[in-house]
Amino acid sequence: MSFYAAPIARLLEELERLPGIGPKSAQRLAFHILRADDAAATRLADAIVEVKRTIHFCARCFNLAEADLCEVCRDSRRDEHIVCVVEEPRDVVAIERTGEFHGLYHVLQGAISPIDGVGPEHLRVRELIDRIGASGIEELILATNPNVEGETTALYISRLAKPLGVRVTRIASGLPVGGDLEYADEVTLGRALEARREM
Amino acid sequence: MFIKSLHLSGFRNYQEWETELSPGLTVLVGANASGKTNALEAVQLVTTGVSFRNPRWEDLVRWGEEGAEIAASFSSEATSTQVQIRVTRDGRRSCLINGVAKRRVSDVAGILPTVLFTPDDLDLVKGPAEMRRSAIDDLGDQLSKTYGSIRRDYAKVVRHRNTLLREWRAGVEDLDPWNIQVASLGSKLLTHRRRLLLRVVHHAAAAYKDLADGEELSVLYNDHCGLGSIPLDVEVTIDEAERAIIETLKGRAADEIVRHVTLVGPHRDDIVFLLGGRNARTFASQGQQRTIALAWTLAKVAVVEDIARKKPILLLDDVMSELDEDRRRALTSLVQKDVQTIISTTNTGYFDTKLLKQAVVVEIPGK
Repeated sequence: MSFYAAPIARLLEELERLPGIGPKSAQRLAFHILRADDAAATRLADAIVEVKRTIHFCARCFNLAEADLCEVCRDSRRDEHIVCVVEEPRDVVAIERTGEFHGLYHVLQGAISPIDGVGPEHLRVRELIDRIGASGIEELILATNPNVEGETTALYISRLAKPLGVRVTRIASGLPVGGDLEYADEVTLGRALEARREM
Repeated sequence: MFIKSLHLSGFRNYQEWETELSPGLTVLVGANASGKTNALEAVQLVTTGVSFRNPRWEDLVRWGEEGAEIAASFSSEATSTQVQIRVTRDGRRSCLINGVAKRRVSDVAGILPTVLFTPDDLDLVKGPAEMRRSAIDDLGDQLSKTYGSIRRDYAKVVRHRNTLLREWRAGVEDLDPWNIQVASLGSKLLTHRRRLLLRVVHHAAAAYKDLADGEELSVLYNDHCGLGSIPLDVEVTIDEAERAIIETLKGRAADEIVRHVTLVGPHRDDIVFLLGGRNARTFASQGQQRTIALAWTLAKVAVVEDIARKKPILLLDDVMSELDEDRRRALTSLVQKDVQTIISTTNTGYFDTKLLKQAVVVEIPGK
């Protein structure tokens, strides 16, 4: 039931499959591509093919990697006893940028969310538990997002990991450093108060 | 602080409409379907960022217009504040306070609180339990961002957990982390709700006594969290509630798996109104039930003033025809206590002539 020629309809269909893209955005993107010159369109297509061909997931931590292991896992100076568990590869980038963490990562590739049809079996949880069994991991830092799904995922993992004798910690959530109290919203401030510590 | 003027363009049935509002009583008069309720909705949106009708944002835009704008000018002795809310055809919205763009429309909340009373609210006593839970939670939402965020997170946890039970046929092990979440957020919602309810009931009982002599109004909080019937004025701690929810969830696990739904937690609780110790839902007359609803609204005004330390705007949508003279007088009497009141009506005959003389009466032209 499309009013578009078959190739455009096909492009629209593919674009609409992308997350956050509805029919209207798909149309905007499709017509942008149509108007662009051939070279631009080819660059986009090549980039998509290239990324799928060369980038895959690290065999150990499921971060993005060009080789079998990702850059972090290949780095022999990293502390193999501490593993930071995150939801997405972009979270690795965020933590790496702090320069404060020298351990390894484990990328779950999502969070438990039954409404969206995501259960623990769709995440790299099994692989994480296997890693604990196989290597000398002493501490898991759970750095999933501080929302309902991230909290639940952290709870689920801690239940599985604790009996294996590793230390399990959860990152604190609260005030951004350097942020003024005045500008923090009440919810963040409330969480920060809850997680306060002795000085 | 009060709203001095309201300007609507492309909003609902208004193409372009501007009006001055009285710091005391403003009466919006017009025929049915002329847009009185729309004007009150606009005031609620510009003060709280939400509408009691829960519309899709794009539905706020007048047919054929590119976008809608609600602009209000707030005034107090010392300051004046301009608020604009804009919605585009495709439902995108933005908000400006004094010309500065804000991140969310809900950022308007806090300038001036609002208490709304519509004919639907008259069913407070006999309506479904959900209505009474929302009545208290909506108030909490408006008064505290923490309350609002706990409420939303808790609702999400229940949705996830119900999906697990219904579609995933989840076992006890999968439910375990969600149980912890139900208990941790549910206990907070429960204690916040009970605390706020206690304050409202305190004022509502006094208001009821003024409106009708005779039996005393009280409230029973009927929880599904396993605490038993603890009187409202006994403070339940978060830890206590959390333990109760965890234990009750364990006890009802088998039942939940059979019925595919979360049976334990504050989303199942009910608030029971009692007159002279008897359940008002079954024993009170319709008139008494309406008086309870009215007392509840007056109590909200008092509680908002207590907590936000600002007198709220009182919005009354077409309720005058539903109430008798004494109760109408009780509602409009808040004007004398410096509560800015905006009332929509089809007929100014419902108002005391003396009161009407001091009021700003605005004719709603319709279409």
